[in-house]
Amino acid sequence: MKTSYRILAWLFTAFLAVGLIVNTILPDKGYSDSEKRELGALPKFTASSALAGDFTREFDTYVSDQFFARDMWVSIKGMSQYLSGMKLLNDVYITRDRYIGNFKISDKERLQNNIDAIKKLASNAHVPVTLLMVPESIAVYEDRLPRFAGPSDQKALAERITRELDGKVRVVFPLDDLKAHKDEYIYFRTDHHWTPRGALYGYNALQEALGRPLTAMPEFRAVADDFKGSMLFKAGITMPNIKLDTLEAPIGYENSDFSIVINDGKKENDGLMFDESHLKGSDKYRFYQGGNQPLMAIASNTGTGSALVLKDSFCNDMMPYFAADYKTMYVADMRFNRMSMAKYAKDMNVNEIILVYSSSTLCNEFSLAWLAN
Amino acid sequence: MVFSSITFLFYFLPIVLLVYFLCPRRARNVILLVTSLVFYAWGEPKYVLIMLFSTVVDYTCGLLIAKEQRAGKSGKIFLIASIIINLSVLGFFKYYNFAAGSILGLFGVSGLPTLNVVLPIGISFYTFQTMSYTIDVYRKKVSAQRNILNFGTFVTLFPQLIAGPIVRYSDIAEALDDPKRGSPDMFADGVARFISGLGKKVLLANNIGLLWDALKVTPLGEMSVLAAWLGIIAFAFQIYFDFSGYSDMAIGLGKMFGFKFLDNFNYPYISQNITEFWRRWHISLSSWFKEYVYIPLGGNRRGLPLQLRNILVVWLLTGLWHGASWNFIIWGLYYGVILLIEKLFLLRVLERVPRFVRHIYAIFTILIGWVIFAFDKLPEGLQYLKTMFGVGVPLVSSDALFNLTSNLPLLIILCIGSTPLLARVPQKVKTIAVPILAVAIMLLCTAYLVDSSYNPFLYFRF
Repeated sequence: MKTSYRILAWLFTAFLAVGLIVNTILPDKGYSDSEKRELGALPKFTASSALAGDFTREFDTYVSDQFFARDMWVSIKGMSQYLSGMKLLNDVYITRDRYIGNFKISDKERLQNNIDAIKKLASNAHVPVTLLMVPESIAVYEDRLPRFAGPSDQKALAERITRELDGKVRVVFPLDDLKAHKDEYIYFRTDHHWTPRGALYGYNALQEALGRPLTAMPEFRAVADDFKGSMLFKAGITMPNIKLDTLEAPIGYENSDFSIVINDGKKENDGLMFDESHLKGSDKYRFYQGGNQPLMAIASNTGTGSALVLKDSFCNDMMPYFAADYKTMYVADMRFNRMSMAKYAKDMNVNEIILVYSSSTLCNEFSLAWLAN
Repeated sequence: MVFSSITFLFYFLPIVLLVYFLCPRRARNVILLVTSLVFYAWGEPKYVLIMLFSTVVDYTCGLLIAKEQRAGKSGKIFLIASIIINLSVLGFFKYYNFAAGSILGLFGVSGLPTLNVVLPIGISFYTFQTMSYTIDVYRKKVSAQRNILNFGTFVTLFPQLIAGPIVRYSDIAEALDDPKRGSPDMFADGVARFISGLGKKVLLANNIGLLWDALKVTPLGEMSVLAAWLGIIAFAFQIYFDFSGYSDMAIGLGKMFGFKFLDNFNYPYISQNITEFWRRWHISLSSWFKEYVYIPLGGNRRGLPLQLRNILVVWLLTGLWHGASWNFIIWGLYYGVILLIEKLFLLRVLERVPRFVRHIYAIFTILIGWVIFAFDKLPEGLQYLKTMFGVGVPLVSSDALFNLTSNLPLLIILCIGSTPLLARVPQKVKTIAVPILAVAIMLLCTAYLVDSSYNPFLYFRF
């Protein structure tokens, strides 16, 4: 007994000492690929920061952020929780073949504000407004969820939004179209977005509602096959049974087909429909248009008509189909814009306004309030 | 600083151990004093002065009481001074705003302005510890400490500084003055105890706390009966494993530095009545109140009416000690009344019913108590109780079933951990199993602590 406890005491002190030494010697890291943020840096000690308690708080973050083999420890924790029977980690369901983000209406007031803002936009605008509400994948893959896992109430949400917008805004919620194809590769396994295939089903549902011609499913070429998406990082564990994602580009759509001007040309380079420079980075979804842009003007030779598209990132891999169908398109992201969209639509003389927002964005994104401007 | 942090485990503790065991034994108390001040100042840079003030006051009062008593006088005046000063400090920081708010709420007049004071960490613990010192000096249970550094070490000793147990001066007076205190075996025991406490806190309490956190935000009208019971059971486990885990860490660290603190918990959830529960729960607090309030008030020696009064006074104070809020007062009185009922007749009735019925009675009563304890807004607690008893809500809900199934293994571990089953494992098995388990716990706790700042910034979320 005594000997084994003494061995334990030695192991314990040695572990603390090794931790102290290794953490002190190892150089600090700056940016974390898995967390997409700057890790905490050693704070400067000043009398005022110490007295205010800032120094110690920042130091605590720093030593945790910079702990050696951080990603390994994080996955040990997640794996131990998973093995103990928890199937919902950090609000992400771990299922047999995919990570599925949980969906809940957490802030009823914000949802109401957003609905009201869309209503206001419709009454301010001189052209018809259509909302494509993108289902979060949990509604499509309900059968994969663990037993008793709460059903996602997106259908009821869509019905509510349709009712409240009361004919002023046409609402398209393509859940059934997507469910009919759920054995195809329509949502990423490790990311919350739909794939360009899933996006096409959603896009055609929109086009059908608008009375415009549908787009045929193109062939795809893989541009990356090691895409680790947001849900994998949020859950914090890499499950061996869930394959990493393949990022695809539709064949027949080329960068040269589109001219993209970003932020009224205030950005030095013109935009690209497919930006290969992001395929080596940690956020490979930015392959589509280089990520979320505040404002884009996209022109194509093939399309007809014009539209103002107000969107979140679910629209990014839908953009090729969209842009090919319209001669001119203005695309704005409300998170980076506060100008009046009704006025902008008028100034640009577009034929219609189309909103592409996921269920989560509609419920949680405060910047949709600017739609009322 | 808290024990369950990277800063404590991988910076503070190894450095303190290194300095402590490398320096000459005579310097050890000073090292503990200085490092304890750093430990405290880490979270409360300014309030360290209050603790030092308290130290100087009680050190001086102790010496003056002893001096008076040597001169044949009682020294009562200095005892009273010490108690008044300690209680004033505690009263101001802990209860002033509550009193001001209550006066406004009860009488509709704002007699006192509310102030922007933050409760200094650990003040409820260290004021009780230092008061026990002056009272014991007055009672001649201990002799006054002449060395202010040794006394300061007692007050600030970082293992028990923040969350107890409430260590009385008499418990460690001898070790404090003994430079040869401690031994390698005691150190090794302390390590094992510390790791088990760390595991209780980080792996068990924090994980079951997630369940309580998830359930308690359910709008109360939408909660099912099962969810409400699951939630309060989760809270009961969280508070026990959190608090007793912290006590274990404190006791373990104490042992590493050669101090023996008394046990603070003794498997409270196996109790068969509430009298027994309070002999097993937060022992250092209930024995403090018994020793320094209940017995001086006359205890049970002056007839039943006075005994009943004494019990209610003690439980009112016990409730108030837990926090400056009405629900804690009600929680304390709830226990006071139940203990009275048990004393008057219930204990005798319980003796005649089967063991499992007694156990169900105790657990039921404790869980109702935790509902009062958990909600500092009384209407919310009341609504929660209604939900538990099915007033206008469904019996089961899918989220309750989901939470139950995904936490089932954890709940089983918590049940086993609440009983002495593991302590009864034969020594031979323990010799092998304890170190292996301890290493696993240590690694897992590290993972949890590193993960605590894991915060993927999902700017591309939508």
